[in-house]
Amino acid sequence: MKKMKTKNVVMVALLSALYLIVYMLSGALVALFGAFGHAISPGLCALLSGSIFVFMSRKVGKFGQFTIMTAILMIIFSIMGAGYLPWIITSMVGAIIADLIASRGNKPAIWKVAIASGILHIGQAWGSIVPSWFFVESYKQEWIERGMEAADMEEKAAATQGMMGVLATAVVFVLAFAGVYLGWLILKKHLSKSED
Amino acid sequence: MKFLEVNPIVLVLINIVSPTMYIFTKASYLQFFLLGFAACLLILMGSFKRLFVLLGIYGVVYAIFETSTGLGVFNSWTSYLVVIIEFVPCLVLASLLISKYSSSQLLSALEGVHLPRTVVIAATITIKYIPAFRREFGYIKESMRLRGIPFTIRRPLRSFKFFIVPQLFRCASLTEEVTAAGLVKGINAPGRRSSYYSQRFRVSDALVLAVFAGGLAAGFVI
Repeated sequence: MKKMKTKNVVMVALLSALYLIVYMLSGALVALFGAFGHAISPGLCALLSGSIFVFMSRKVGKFGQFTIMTAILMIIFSIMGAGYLPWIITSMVGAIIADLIASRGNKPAIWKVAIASGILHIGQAWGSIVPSWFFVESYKQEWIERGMEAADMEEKAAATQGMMGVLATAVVFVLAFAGVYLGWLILKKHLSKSED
Repeated sequence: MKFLEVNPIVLVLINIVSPTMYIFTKASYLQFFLLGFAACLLILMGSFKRLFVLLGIYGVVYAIFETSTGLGVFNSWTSYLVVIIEFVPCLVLASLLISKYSSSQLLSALEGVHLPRTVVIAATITIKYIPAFRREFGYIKESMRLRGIPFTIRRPLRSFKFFIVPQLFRCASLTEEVTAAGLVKGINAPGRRSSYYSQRFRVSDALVLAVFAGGLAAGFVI
């Protein structure tokens, strides 16, 4: 495993800035799709940012790249007041697994990068799915007290519970996997040119 | 007039803990506590313009929410209003962090909590370059318009490619520049980095945190 140099850290930081913009853009888009849309929002972000992951794996390709990227995101979201402890924990675990899959060798196969992106984004999605499995009753009670109809609340909670949570996880993985292949399709020509 | 200086880490800590507390305490209490707490902090720090922004946004969104629920409308959109109500105080405190403190002050404060240096430097670079990339998107759009290449939903892959590829390769060229500038400033020098803006933890910081913790603890009782 090669150690990250200063230049690699700077590139990861700059790519993280780009990823954050895509993240915010997809967050705004997904607001149109209601509760289930919110549950799969990391998947939409992954679909649009697959090219960033392909570029990073080819231009940096060092162990720790995904972990540093996720840590940067978590710090910035925490500073903005959007940090959420379960989300931070699941995202960091996802990022470390992604590094173990696709950052150990030079120029990993695209399918490995795709799986790594899938796992990383599942980690992000689980930040909202997992707490809804454990704290759902207090969550529902709170919203009903605020005036939401019990039936509407059930529908909202159902978007991340039980099989819907599993479905959301699968959708996120598929979108992330497709995003990396889409990124590879876009960048293949450019990357081979820059390597020549 | 400014009565209080707060270590940026205190604000970061408040913003990290606050959203998580919505799981454990009653949200209707917590949202009003956070509003009051943020308003007091803004007054003490002499940030009156932000105080008006906070109260203005909060007031308008709260009024829309109350009117909607009064009319019997409660759906996904009104629940988004509640999310805004809950997070506006945190967002205002975050804007305080970006506007009142320079990146050197933030860097100095973050180094004080012994986060890995690599992560602290990387996060500072990311914060600094987000506006730069947003500007670049504008230039790309303008360049596409001048060359007669439309950004169209009918050819989404092609349009997306025109947006993302220049940005990625701009990252590669920027990396060289930023690394060179960082190396000149001793970014990889071994040893503890000293700072002109040394951020110490003061008694006032402890008091702010004590009031915050007390308010959160009250949420478990009420």
